[in-house]
Amino acid sequence: MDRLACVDVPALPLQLLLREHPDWRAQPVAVVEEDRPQGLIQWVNEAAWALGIRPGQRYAQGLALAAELRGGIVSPAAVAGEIEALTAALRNCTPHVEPYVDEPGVFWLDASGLGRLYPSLAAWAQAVRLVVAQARLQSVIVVGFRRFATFAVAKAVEAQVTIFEDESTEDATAARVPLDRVGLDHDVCLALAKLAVRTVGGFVRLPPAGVARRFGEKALRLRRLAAGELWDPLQPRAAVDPLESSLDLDDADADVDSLLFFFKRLLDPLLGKLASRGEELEEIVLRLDAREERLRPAVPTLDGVQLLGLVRLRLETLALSAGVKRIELVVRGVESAAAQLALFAAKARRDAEAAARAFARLRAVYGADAVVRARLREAHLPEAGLVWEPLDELVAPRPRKVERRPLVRRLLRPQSVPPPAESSRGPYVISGGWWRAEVQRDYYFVASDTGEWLWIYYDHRRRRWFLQGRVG
Amino acid sequence: MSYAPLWCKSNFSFLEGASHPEELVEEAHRLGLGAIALTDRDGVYGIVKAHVKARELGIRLIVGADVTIENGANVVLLAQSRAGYGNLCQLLTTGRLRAPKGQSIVIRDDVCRHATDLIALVRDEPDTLREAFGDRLYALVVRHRRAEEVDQEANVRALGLPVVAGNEVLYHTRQRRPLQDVLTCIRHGVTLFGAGRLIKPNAEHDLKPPSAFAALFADDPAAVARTLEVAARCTFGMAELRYRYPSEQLPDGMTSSAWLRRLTFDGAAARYGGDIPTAVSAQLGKELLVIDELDYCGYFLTMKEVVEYCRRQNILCQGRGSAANSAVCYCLGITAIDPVRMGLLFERFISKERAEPPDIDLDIEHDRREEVIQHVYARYGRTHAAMVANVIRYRARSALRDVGKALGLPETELHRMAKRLGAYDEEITVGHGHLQRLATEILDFPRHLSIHPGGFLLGHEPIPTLVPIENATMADRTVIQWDKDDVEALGLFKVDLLGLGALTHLHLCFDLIARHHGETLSLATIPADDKPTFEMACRADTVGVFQIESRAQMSMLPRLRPEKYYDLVVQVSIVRPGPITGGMVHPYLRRRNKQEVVDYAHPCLIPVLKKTLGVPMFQEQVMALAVVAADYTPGEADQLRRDMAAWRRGGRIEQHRERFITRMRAKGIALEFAERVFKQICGFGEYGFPESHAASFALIAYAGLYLKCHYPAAFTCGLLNAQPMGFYAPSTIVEDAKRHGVEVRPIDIVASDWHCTIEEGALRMGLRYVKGLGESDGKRIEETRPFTSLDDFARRTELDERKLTALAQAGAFGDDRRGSLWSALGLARSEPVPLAVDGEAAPEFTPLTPFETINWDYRQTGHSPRGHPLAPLRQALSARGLPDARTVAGLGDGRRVRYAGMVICRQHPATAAGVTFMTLEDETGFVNLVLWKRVFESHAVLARTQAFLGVTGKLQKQDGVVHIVADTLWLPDIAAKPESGGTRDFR
Repeated sequence: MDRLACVDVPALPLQLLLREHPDWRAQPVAVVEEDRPQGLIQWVNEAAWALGIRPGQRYAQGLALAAELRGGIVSPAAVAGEIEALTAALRNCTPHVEPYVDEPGVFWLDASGLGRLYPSLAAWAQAVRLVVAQARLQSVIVVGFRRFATFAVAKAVEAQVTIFEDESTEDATAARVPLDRVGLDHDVCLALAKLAVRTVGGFVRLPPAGVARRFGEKALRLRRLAAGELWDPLQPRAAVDPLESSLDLDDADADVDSLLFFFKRLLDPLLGKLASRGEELEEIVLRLDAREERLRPAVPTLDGVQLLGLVRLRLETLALSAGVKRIELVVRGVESAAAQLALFAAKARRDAEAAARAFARLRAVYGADAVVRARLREAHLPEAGLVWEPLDELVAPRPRKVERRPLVRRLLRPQSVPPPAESSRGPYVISGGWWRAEVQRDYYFVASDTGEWLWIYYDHRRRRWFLQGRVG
Repeated sequence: MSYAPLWCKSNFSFLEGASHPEELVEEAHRLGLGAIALTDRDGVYGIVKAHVKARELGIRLIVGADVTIENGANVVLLAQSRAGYGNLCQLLTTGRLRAPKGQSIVIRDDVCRHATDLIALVRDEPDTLREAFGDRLYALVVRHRRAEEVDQEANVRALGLPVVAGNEVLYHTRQRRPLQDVLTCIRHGVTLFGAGRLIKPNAEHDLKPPSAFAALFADDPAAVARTLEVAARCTFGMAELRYRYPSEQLPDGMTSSAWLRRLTFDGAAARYGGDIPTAVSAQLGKELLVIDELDYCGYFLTMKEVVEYCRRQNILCQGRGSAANSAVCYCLGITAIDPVRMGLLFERFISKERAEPPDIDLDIEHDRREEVIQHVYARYGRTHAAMVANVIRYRARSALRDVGKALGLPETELHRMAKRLGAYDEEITVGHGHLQRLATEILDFPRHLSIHPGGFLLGHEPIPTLVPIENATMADRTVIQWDKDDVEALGLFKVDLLGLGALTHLHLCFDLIARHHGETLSLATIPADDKPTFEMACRADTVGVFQIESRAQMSMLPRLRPEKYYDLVVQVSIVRPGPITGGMVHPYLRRRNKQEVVDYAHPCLIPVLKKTLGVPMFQEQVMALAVVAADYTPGEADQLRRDMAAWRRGGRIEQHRERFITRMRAKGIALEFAERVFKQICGFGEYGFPESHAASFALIAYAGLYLKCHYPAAFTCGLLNAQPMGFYAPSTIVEDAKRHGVEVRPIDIVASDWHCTIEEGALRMGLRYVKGLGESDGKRIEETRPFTSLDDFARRTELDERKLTALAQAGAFGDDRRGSLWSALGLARSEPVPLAVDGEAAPEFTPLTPFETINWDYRQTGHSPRGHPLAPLRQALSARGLPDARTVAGLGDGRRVRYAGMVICRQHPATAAGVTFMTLEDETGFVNLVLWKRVFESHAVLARTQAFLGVTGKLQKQDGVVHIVADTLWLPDIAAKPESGGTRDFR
């Protein structure tokens, strides 16, 4: 008979937070939606629970109950990443692993046919537990016959490993599981509790039509699952072949053309795989011995020539005098965008794609942060009036109409100058920044010996004169 | 060369100016300036405070405003004369009433229409204003040392107007510049790091000394001189405001004085049954003379009209406060206390020496107060009646939060810091330099305008010519730009219409008694000196009785043992922070119980203190004592009263110490007594009642007590229908009623109305107590009855699932609540779902246990007619050696005791040196706990959060008052979790 197991990593976000802050374990801890007083508490540990802090309260309420409450955010991405990692790790114990999409931290594992690898199901279950423990997480494993039953028992049982030998025991144990553990909506649980229906067994005894009418489709489905009325086979997540390839060279090679040739040998099959998946290459991770380089084309592409060009540009910037003995290539793809229609669109005079390709080449040579643009900012200090920010893609310029062109050309970095002689206008005072680094400058417009008007200032803090810009 | 700053904004330009109006005036005076203009943004909010300070220092205050007009431009307007001031106020009113609260929309045409006698200082586009203002239009040149001002100045000078120099002053000293930056950030909801050009580029918005100002405009001394010219043209001062109270519509040929006299004596005849005692006639004559001389007749007639309106509309009302000292008020029906019989002091209310407007506070049934407010608006019109503002100011916590946010500190961290502060802390200590300094500086700064609970300003002339009116947040409310202190400082009349739940309660009781007992009762006809009523008070059986129901009052009642009405006056007054901190309570109790000799320290004190056994208890006594024992004039005594009220803020009371004690000593009064009396005076600063006020409240308290004693069902029914009010949650009120033999019937859709009702002498709980049900739902149920089935009920009332299930859980459909709940859930969901089978058999549900039944009642209705949550647990509690409240009350003093009960009240009075009081309840009554600071802190989580609580401590019994002095708190070892009816927590 087929066997399966449910692995529950309870309160996964909370465990992740505590893993990040092991020194918090003895203190009341909560996972919060936002780190602000009105942020909702999502998970709490036992110490916090004992102080009356509950999920659903505001962070401020929690702090009112326990000033020492520690709170932290665990992002959905972090949880999803951990699930990915655990899924991969659990595949070492069984090829078929299904993460539960509705509740992070719950996995179903196929436990059938493992007799040749493990002496018993108990030994296998311990191996599974060990895999999760290696990720510094706690888990509960229930090995049984039906998905719902193992899940329900895993949510209620205290033992870390439970193995059912027969279905009737499993069913009887599952029937005693409190309803609020099995993923029913909180409001439904509350309503059922008012009807004195608090266990899975009690829930199953309710008429299905009545459950559907009162509590909806989701509750009905759960009731049918609990009653064994639905066939719900394991749906393991397919393992995805990594798109990577490597090459060990006999001798260290420092020649760029030669390395490009090897690189092409590795890249072409990977592009083929991407194409067969309907994907295009979005990023290349190139490892040359211990060195790792990342490259991104202007847009996802399967164009090998363009990619080789970018790799060449990067290789030419690297100091490879000691030569390279091992090349590893990992590519990351994204689903192909339907670009065919673009072929029929009229081409703009400015070719944004060409610009993007050029930027990609610049990044390939000078690094990922090489392409930036200036953004104007409201600030009193002239040098604070703009910031440089990364430019991902070129947008069409939309110049504003300039009523009156400024006469002053600012210098990016003020230059120290001697005190002015005469012919000045000012002072115009800029002071502030008292909350960070106090600034006090007296600005003047002064005429130079050549008749040019200069924009200078006296910096009270540094007690020196600086040229800020020129007029005209 | 001197000058006059003509464009100054105080912190009443909300979140813009960084100095108090008084600070600007003081600094101007210190700098030797002869005049200063206060021109707050779109208002004159701070003008009275500036006026008071300017009057004190002898500096001239120019009244104006910085008026925002279209496209973000502004014009500074200064009042030349009273007419100009009136125009300014009307213009500001126009802009404010046109915009939502906190904003103003003024267009240039408005400015032109109100230009008469106003001087305008402009910086752009004067063409539309030139004709309206003529030679009163000036070009304003500003120099804040900003480069862009060079071009702007050239444009301003090109307007061809006389140029006047005038910087925008936002703070009186440069040290306030950081605070101004922070205020700007708060206003725009940004941090300093992201504020950019929203904050000013430098610190040039200070009030400059004449030399610095002259140097700034050294190239144009005429512009500086012109500031003085403008100042000289503005001759208006706030002292010119002459206020006339609205003339009542008088019968033909009658003056207001004669009409008031007629109404007063007619009222006296009614009060005294046609035979007005000589003393009363004499007192009325004396009072009417003073009222007439001070021209207050209109005010009294207005109050009479409001009271008459209430009578006509059957709204219970009663004057409180010092008005109860007036026999005229009593005869006009404004107050209910006979001041002649009580020997109250009219001068406490009005005196020729003070010549200050009287202050009549009228208590009105709280749920009908809005009717009276709207009546006042309707009778006097929106232009002649407006509500007084309440300025919301920064307190420690809000200061910390807002300043911290502007500094970019994490909100959670600020929240933690704020929690460590008291709500009224006057010092902020945090480990962040800027935060500490700026949050302390911003304390007491105005944050925004709110509305006074009931203060009205009424005027004969349109109010907008006196002070601008603006919209309040609440619909149909308009509010003036001054608070009650401003109104008082200018000597204006204010009418206070205050809501009082106790009057609603009494009114409901009277109606119920009339309907079910056929007896017509009112405040005036309730039998006086009813013995059973006072016996009840002596037993502290006062749950639900106005003013004497709190834990502290209940503790005092068995000690004071009131036997007559005046004892209740004392009882109401004695449990106050004033008498408590003044150390008056114990001496009074000892003397009353003959444990201490009544002495007076000096014979001259006997007439003053005889009523209260030699212990000063009321404000009037302190004033009289100052007159007889320390030779104060009545005016000085009144100043003493004011200083008593303000001593915490200004320490002004200390200036009386020397004079008071020295003069008493000179009279031969012992130093110890003099110092004790002075300490008591300081205590009044904390909060003490005037006798007249206490007498008014005691009357309501007596009425409530009488009704509770003789009509407990009506009393409880009225109280439950007047909720929310009072000290106790409805569950406690219901339990108390049951202990008094009132049969309480549960909520039932067949029998219950929206409100609670009396049914065959029993109390039927109303649908209003079903949580989640609205009044319109309740009324629909009342109107749609009878019903043939639950299905019929759901269909015809069209209530949604939440309401149907709420009724089912409350037991309103019958005792099978789980079955009803299952049905209600099914009925509410009418949409077809797959696999639904019509006509399915209802499942069998486990019936509720008695404990569950009561818990469901509490959860869904906040009370239970069926029992107290602890009653079903009594056996289990007894098995654990835990007695009930009645048993605890019978145990001996000093005995150690363990007890468990439901927490119904927590109190942490500021006067109790950190002691927390808690009241626990079970099915037999209350147990009061005393938690010393150390015990509370070590059990803080339990004490703050748990509704079912166990306590171990020592029993303290004195004069029939029982307390457990707690050593430890604990969670009772009972698996069942009884529901709580809610706790009332007080400071």
